[in-house]
Amino acid sequence: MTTYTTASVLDRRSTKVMITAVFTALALATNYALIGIPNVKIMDTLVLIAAFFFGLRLGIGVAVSIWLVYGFVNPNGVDTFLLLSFLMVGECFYALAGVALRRSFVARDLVKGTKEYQRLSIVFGLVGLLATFAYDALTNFGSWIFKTGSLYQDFVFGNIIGVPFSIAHEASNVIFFATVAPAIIVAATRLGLRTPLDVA
Amino acid sequence: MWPRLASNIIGGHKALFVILFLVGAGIVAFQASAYYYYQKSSACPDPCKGSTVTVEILVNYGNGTSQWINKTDVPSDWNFYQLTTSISKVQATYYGPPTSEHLVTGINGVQSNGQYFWTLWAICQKSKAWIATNVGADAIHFMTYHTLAWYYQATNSQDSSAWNPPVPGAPKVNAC
Repeated sequence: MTTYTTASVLDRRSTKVMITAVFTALALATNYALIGIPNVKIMDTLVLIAAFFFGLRLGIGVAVSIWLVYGFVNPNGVDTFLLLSFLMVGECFYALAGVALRRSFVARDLVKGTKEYQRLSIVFGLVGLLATFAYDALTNFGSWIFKTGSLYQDFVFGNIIGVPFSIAHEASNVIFFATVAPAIIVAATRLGLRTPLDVA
Repeated sequence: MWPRLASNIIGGHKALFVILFLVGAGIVAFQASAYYYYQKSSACPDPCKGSTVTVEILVNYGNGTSQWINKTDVPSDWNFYQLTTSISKVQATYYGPPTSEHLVTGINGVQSNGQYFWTLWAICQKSKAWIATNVGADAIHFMTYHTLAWYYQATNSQDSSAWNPPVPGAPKVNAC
């Protein structure tokens, strides 16, 4: 029987660094592979999964690490420090969503070996929509900040001019969150990966 | 069958599902209205249809060669992408809905290369200064701007305030 103690492998700092690096590498590889399709990326789903299994700090670590590379090494141009800070904060919303799901009935159902996959998909899809909307609202604002003379106008202009990109982002994330995320989480749980809350 | 399926899915979490669905519906409604407003504002307004306008276009190749083109018979319901293709040989990547825009990658054989891109500029009527437009050529109609420019320059930043205007030394603004 597997026992889970505070001194377990998953709690080691080196393991956390390794997991962060693996998730970051996965996200970057898929980002560059999908560079030709604006705003369609698996990165957000990976941040949510990282936070779901390994906690908020690791999720935030993955979110920040991804943008530290992707913000500066990007064929579409380098982000400014101001916009980069908005992107990093926005990406952390997915980590928060992952932790919220981990604390919800979803994680408990998974441990019990639920077969209610439709429920998982719907909850993940809706939470993904919510987190992506928050991300888009914040980053659209960030890309227009200090450009119109009023923060309110920056927010409105940014979110109207950015709406085609937001729609592509939100639609693709709903699909990824409702399909890829539950599939990976169910598979990982069957393979024995447990969140610390499950075993508490 | 459907109510039973829904009841199976929702289980004992009715309140959570109601909140999630309501927030989700609110987001969809918000984005749909924003998209409608975006489409309306980037479309050619009614009075402009059926007439022609005069548009000045500058193409700055970034190597000291510039070309001013004065077009007096531009159909006013055209957008700047259509006008550009009518005066030059354009290479572009098209992105379908919802963006429905072209990314111009080459003009008259001068292609985007490394940090060199074609940047898009217009003269702001209010301040009589150049502004790097915040929308693509497809979303630019000639009711707002009458003097526009393509400038091939090294842009290692997405921040347009760091870019140079297409006419050296000309005034530049960040907001119109």
